[in-house]
Amino acid sequence: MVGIELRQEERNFVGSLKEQGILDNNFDHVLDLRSTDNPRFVVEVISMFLNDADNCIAELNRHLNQPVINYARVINYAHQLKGSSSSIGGRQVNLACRELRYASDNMDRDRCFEAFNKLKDEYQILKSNINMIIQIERTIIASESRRRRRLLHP
Amino acid sequence: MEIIPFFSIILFLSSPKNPFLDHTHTHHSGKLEISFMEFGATSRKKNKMVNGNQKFRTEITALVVDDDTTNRTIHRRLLQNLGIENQEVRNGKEAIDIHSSGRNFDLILMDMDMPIMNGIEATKQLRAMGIRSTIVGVSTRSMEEKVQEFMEAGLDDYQEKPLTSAKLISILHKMNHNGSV
Repeated sequence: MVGIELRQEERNFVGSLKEQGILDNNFDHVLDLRSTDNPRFVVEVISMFLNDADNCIAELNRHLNQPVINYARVINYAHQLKGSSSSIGGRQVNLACRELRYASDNMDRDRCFEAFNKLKDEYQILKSNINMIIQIERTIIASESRRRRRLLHP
Repeated sequence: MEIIPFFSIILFLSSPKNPFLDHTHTHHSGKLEISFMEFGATSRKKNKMVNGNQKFRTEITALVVDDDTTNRTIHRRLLQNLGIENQEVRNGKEAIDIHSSGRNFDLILMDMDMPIMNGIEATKQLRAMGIRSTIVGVSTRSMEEKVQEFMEAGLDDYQEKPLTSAKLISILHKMNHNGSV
């Protein structure tokens, strides 16, 4: 059945991302929260995360490119992104945020830029990969919806 | 040989994956069922056999206090999966405001770092208002000093993010052990 094959494809894909260190086991907790009464939960959570993360990255970019860096703001956004990326299982993004946080605590401008560049790179990798998971989820949802309709109207 | 009597407390979960799902539980009623099962307790001295299955229900309500949308969504989903009716607010001040409006909750999941009013300040104010709910700090912070400061503000428990079903269950276990049922 298509749905089962897609689920296996998703599991394999998530497995490979975990092997690469892009995701950790916290992503499994998000998948576990999916249920028949809310099959779109994973799509919704990932979309929510990406929306907030895009905003964090934009704000960090803005603050770090000010003539005088407001380190308190940088710390705030780095901490926020660290928290949400941890909940979604975005391991490398979480680590990069931690590095940016340390650099901001020490008000080390050069280290901040280095950490932020690393964060941007890791975020793009995470974003492109979890967007693929969204696509798989949407395909699974569509497939299961068609299957239910066929069962109801044979 | 004397048989030592023992009691088992089994917490039935509403998770669809739970093989011991109690069929009388409903997801959306906000009720958590706890079954006490006594297994063949025998006392030679008293010479009596006690077998029973007592069930009682408890309605738990929860408030999620977190400035991050992803975290609020995940935490609410965890609570929902356990059949716990829940609401959310985005910072400590909104947590104070919702209590000032007369709402009360059995469980409050309080993030530490939030804009406008952080979790430490919000916890202090809630306790000063006489709020006796179970307040559990939930944060990515692991520094002992900060966690200690958070605990001293009036927390009942602290859990490091991300919150999982297992952590939430341990919170509920403690709530029941402390006699909130």
